[in-house]
Amino acid sequence: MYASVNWLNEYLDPPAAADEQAALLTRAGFPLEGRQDFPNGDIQQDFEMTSNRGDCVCHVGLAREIAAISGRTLKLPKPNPKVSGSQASEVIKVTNNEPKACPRYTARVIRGLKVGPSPKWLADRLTAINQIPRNNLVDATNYVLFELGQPTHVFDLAKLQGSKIIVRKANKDEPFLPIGEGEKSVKLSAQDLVIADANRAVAIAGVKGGAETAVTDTTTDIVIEAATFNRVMVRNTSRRHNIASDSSYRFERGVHAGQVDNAAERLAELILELCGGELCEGVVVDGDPIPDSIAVSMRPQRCRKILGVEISTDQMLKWLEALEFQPTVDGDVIKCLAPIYRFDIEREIDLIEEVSRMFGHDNIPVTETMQIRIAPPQSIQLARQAIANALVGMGFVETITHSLISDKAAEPFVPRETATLRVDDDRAKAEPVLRPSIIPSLLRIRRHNRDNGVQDLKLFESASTFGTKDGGHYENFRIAMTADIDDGSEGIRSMRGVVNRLAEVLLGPEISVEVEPCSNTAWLQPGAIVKINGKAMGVMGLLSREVATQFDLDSAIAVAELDLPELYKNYPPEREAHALATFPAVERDISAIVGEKLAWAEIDVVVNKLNIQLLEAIEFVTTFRGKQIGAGKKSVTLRLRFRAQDRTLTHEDVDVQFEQVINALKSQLKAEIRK
Amino acid sequence: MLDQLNQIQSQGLGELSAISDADALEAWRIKYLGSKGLIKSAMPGMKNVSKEDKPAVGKLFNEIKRALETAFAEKSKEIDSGSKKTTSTIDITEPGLPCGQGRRHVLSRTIDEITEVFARMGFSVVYGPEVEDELHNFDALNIPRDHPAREPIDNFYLRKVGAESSDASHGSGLMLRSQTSTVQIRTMENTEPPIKVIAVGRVYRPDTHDATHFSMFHQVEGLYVDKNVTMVDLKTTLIQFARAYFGPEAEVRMRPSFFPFTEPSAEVDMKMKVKGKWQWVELGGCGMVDPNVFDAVGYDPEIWTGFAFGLGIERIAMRKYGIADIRWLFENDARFLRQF
Repeated sequence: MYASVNWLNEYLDPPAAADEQAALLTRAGFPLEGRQDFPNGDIQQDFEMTSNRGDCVCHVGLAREIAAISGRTLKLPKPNPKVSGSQASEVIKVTNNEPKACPRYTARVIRGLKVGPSPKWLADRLTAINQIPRNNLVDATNYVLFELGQPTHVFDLAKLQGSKIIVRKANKDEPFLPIGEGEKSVKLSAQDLVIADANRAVAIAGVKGGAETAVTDTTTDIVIEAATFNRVMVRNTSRRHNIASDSSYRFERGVHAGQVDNAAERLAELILELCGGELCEGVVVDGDPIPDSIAVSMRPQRCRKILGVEISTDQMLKWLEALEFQPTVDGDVIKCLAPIYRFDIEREIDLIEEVSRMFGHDNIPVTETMQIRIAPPQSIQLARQAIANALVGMGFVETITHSLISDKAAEPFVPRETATLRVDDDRAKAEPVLRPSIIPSLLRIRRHNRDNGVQDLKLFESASTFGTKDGGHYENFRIAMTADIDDGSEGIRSMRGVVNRLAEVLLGPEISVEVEPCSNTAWLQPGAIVKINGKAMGVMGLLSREVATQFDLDSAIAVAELDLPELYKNYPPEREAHALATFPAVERDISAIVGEKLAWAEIDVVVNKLNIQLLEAIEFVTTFRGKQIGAGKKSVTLRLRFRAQDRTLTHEDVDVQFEQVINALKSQLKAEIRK
Repeated sequence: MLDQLNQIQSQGLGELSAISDADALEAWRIKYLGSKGLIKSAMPGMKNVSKEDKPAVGKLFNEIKRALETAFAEKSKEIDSGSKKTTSTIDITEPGLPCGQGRRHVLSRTIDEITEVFARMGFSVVYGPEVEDELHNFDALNIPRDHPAREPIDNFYLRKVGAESSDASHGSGLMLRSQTSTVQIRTMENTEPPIKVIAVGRVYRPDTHDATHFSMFHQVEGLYVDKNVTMVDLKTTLIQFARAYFGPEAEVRMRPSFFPFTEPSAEVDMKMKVKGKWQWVELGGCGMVDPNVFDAVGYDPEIWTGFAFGLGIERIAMRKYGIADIRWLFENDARFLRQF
């Protein structure tokens, strides 16, 4: 809110300089956001407001805070307009059909006034807070709004048809033309509250006045509207029609029925002073009775317990008194009456906050030491870091990408028997899908980097993936990786190595990682399910040409996406040292010519099933294809490593076992052995 | 036999000393140490040696063989290094090959650093879902039904599962969480006090993307509930964090503010180094847990008190590293990410 330093000082005794005003209001919870000095000596300061303190969106409200904190006297205007005309109720009738939405509606009438330019002091006040002076009548309403925080409206009495004011719900599609140059007629909704005359809506309640009954330079007789409207109703109407005004801003933050009359009197007094004319006797009112102030009490001991500061009960009383809470002590309790404009005060904790504001957060002491309970091991956090660090060490760059992606990007990655989860928001039209996989995001980033000349990139990201299944939704935290590869086979092997390493980081070296070729994932060609200790934990493979083309990528890309987080909980794995073998190993290579479709995993299984005691490891060496091997066939070279724990093996020791392997390969896999 | 062997040795060593190039050395090796060389050729002569002389001759034979081999090894080393010196093509000033191309994202790194500082103060890390219900995102946080913070314009509500089109009532009851405070509620629902936790993660608000706004960002949220937790503890925790993270000169300022789930509430500013100068930066909000929040999770506010705070990770990282545009963080250009 823009505040004028001179204007604030009209209510403060002694006055406060600009910097002091700013410091005190910042301390009260309204930090300074900007300042502008004017040639006439006034200074505009812009304060950030909080949504719970509508009472401070005016000069008197801010002055009250300054006075309470600094011990100044608050000087409030005491309006007493001179009545000289006939009865207002003879001139205008008010019918309030909606007291829930409009708890109090008041109308006052002034006749015989003269509209003209505002005096300099008024024009200066308004200019200082970025308002443009119009004429003495309109400026008077604005002045009261920014002085007391009460929005008001003036109708040209001559233009109100039937001398009636009716507070009612709008008719569906009822037309309404708002005040203002270039405004277009709006169609109202049946949920909107309007102020109407005998025939039509003349204002959207609390939001905007109508052009047809607006005052002009020739207006002589007016009706002053001062009322209060339901906050939520005003907000909804303002949003519905995308019309915001200083009035709607203020009503959305709450105006108490008990404030209305004082503000109306102040406005009437000001109009008589500025425009002349005669104020009719009486007020035409319709609405509910004005609600009483709310009684709230606070235990000083409780206040000290929350704040952790020894503030005396006397001091608390002084501050609450300054804030006009009318505090009284009753045993262990301070009893207060919340001022009517303080919609934020209902509970004990609200009063504690007031004491804390008055004490000043800057004055809260800090301690140099603190008591700590040592937290148990942070398995998930440590596992996440260990995985990320391992990947960084392997040359992967971590990305953080948006969880929302487009339908098109998500489409290839939606798992069978699931559907996508999506936001219900038109603004997310292009990218409404909560991603079912992180891979499409990584592919997009890969392309972005390629377009910017970054070659040979490995990427990873840990994030949630989403979907719906069996009528419910699911959220899985995953880790996804992509890597540019030159050669299909070698590239897949390096990604497999990455997967192996991650599993080992999480579960220790005894882990078993298998990949099981699978055709379920059409976006991988070839693709496989990754099984860790026998349990499916994700997929890996080569990105299919089709999907690569969709993402405008031309190089081969190895990918993996894993549900590792399930394994995070047991991090770090227990590890045990083993003495290294003391006796040398004997190694034997075998080249087996097998059918092209025979997978390495099958060879591995056949050899392992033999359960050869001395066989320490079976290693993949290479696969060779060529004329001498023949079409549809390949030569797979494997290396067998034999070792005994208690002696040096001789060649004779392993000959038998070696033959056993060869025979198994021949008989079970129809392999032809090259010697 | 002995003479013959001694002669091979002296002749061999003599010839070797005169050699200065690799070809001659190879010829020498073939002549003396090769499979048909003089040493191998002398072997058959052993048959003629008498039984009692055999050990002595055998020993000498081995000694001479070893002496020639050693001399050869030394000579070849000498010639080798000499040739390298003269034909060297290594330019030590050539640029290094890239290595260590992997990187943590600067936000992850910031999160880990912050988490580590709070862990030292006894906070455990907890996690919660990003798809939330209104109960955890609003109701339990003392944000009533008609509160403006619940407006669709400020939140990503989710479409009802199976619904074809937009549903004005947000019938799914689900949304992308707009704050990590949801994790506070989930933690308190599942744990008896005392509690000292931080929650870190992504939050979502439908802002239009520009240099300072992105519709997804990260928060770190702290919650400490115990008997006798006070505003003094809150301020102490924040200032200890600021000093540990930004340096001993860091300061903390709390300005009264309003959040539905804390009271008293305050904005948190920290004085941190921005481009070499210590500056005040708005980093988030904090306050004492509102009694209504304790009621919502079944804690007795007369027994337990607590504080909560939330800090913006992007804001911290952007100020700390001088990142001028939040979109850089999510563009994930490797050239940018490798600056950290």
